Amino acid sequence: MSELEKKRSETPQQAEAPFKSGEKGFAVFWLLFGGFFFAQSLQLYQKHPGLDSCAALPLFVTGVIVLCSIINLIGDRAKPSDSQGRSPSQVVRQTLRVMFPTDVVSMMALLLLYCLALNAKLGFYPTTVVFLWVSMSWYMRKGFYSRQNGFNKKAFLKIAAKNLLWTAISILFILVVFTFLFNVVLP
Amino acid sequence: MDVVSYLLIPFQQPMLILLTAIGTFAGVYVGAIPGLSATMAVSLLVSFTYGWGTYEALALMLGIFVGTVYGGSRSAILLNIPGAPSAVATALDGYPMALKGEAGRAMGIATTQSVIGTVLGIGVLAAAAPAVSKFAVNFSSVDYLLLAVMGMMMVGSLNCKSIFRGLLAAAVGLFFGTIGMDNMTAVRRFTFGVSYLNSGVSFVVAMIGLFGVSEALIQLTSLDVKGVKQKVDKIVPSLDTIVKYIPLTIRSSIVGVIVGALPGAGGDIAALLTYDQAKRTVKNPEVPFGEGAVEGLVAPESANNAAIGGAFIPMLTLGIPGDAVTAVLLGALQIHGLQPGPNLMKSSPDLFYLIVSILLVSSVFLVVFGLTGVKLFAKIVEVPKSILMPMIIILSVVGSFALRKSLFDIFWMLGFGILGYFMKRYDYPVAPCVLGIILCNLLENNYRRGITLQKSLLRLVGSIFTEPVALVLFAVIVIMFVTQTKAYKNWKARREAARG
Repeated sequence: MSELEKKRSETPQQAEAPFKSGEKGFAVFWLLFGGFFFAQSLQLYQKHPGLDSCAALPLFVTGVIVLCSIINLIGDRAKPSDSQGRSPSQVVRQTLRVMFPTDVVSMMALLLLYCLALNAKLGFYPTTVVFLWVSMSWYMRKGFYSRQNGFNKKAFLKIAAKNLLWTAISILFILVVFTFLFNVVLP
Repeated sequence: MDVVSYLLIPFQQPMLILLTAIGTFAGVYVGAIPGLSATMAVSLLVSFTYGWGTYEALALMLGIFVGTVYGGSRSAILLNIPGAPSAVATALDGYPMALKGEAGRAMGIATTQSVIGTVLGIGVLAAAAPAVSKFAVNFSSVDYLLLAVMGMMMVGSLNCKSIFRGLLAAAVGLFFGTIGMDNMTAVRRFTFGVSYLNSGVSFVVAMIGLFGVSEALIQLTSLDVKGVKQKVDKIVPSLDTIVKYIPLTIRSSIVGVIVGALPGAGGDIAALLTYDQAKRTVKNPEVPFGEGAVEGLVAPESANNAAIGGAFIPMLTLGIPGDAVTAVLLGALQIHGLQPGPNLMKSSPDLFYLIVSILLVSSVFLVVFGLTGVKLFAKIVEVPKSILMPMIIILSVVGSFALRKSLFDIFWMLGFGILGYFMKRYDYPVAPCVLGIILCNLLENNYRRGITLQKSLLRLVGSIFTEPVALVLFAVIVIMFVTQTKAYKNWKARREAARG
């Protein structure tokens, strides 16, 4: 099989591969999303009727979202999934694992804290320094912590110092490039 | 001013040359780092260069674009991890060459082929764009409506499980594009009383979130993936090597330009297509394909860079991007008050020829940066994702804030990032979503203009069959849709199976 054919055939192959846990549920999310905004568009259309009105395109596109979600839901209904044959509680657990791996959830949590800190006007530089250092150290945790060997203080100090250097480089880069070169106003 | 004067603009303003050089240099390294793409880099730059002059902003962004497309090949050759989708085919023979101790030779060939491909692509852009523009100047509102639909369908139909996922993503993008005050009637749509939303969702914010943050989050799911480092020696290829493969280079570049010019199909498709073509047509390669054949490197590398010139043709002449990066550049031009389309050649011919000129200058710098700095490259490309991804997120935060100095923009950008993460996680394409937001105005304005002119939806639809351009575009859309359906794919598979 040629390389292009291989690439093209990814579509049917992918379709036959088991769906990730939560993939079918994602189509339900789009259906609800589309349904809600379709109702909103309908209300807008009632206030501003007419095919050339401001409500025509929103009504059409939200209708397309609903339609495509339904087609996806029906089309994917019978496809094998990673969740098949599991109990509902296992399905929920598996779906949450796929949707929110530890590293992604931790980044989302750090981002939330970062946004709250920015909103509280704690200052861009101190907030960013903390965010960068904490996130870098967290994602390098395997270098200083493991279940078998526990916490390795020496390795931690080494990684912490290294990350401090990376953080300093990043901040310096932002300061030099964005503040001086691009004249960007920082949050 | 004539064409030559326009082409010489960068040489009269040394700052443009310098910015092109910086962009190309940065692009080579950004492209080489797995997880960082041209789309991500250019979308971040849109907001940072917002306050700059159009020329300066374009010089930096185009430099980055050219550099990044090439840069992807470096990590493909050295680490077997394509730095960008357009370098997937490069890894097929580039990495086996590196395993044989020919990493330097492979990188040298990739550089020279990328440069030749870029130059040929630019040549076609310079020759074809004015003609396409002249032809497109008479397009009606229905034609534009169909072009916008076609662009979104093409982007949506590639590399995803089903065309309906692509269509859904495009519709979601269009929906986000409708949020805010309506341009014609000032009616507020989906603002829910939030004054921030009156001006609509900034497509730059959406772009940074959907391309930048979402990719960083996706990369966090595979922190442990590491490539195998190779030793690099002599990198500059001999003239004989370059001359020997010129026919294949030209062939692949032509295919690259054509594929690049198709709305939605970019360098990645061009590279795979030409690799496939080379495999079929090259008789008795010195080394079999897949085991380090030079031809397997020449074809995709010339094609993916030639696709750059091709991708600019529909973007500059029709206002329809050829790929995700030109979609971002389209947005960048709009931010600078320019509207790419058939009238651009009349209203701002300087801009068109400046783009051609900067792309050429950038390809010269590609030779310089591509054939040097291997040691620095080896250091940069090995920066772990755990260091790189938090930095990308901070750059995204700075980028989204820079445009309107609003904290809300940061929150929205992160929201788009999380949405993009889930879309990518579940194989929904994000590019049509971004394209939907960018093209929403074009599509809505032309639809409403068409309805006003034709007086009814039925007559608007009927006008498709009376205008030749609209009819051709409509036929292309139907063919695209049909060939992406499961029924067609099954029929094709059955037919091929029957042929044996």
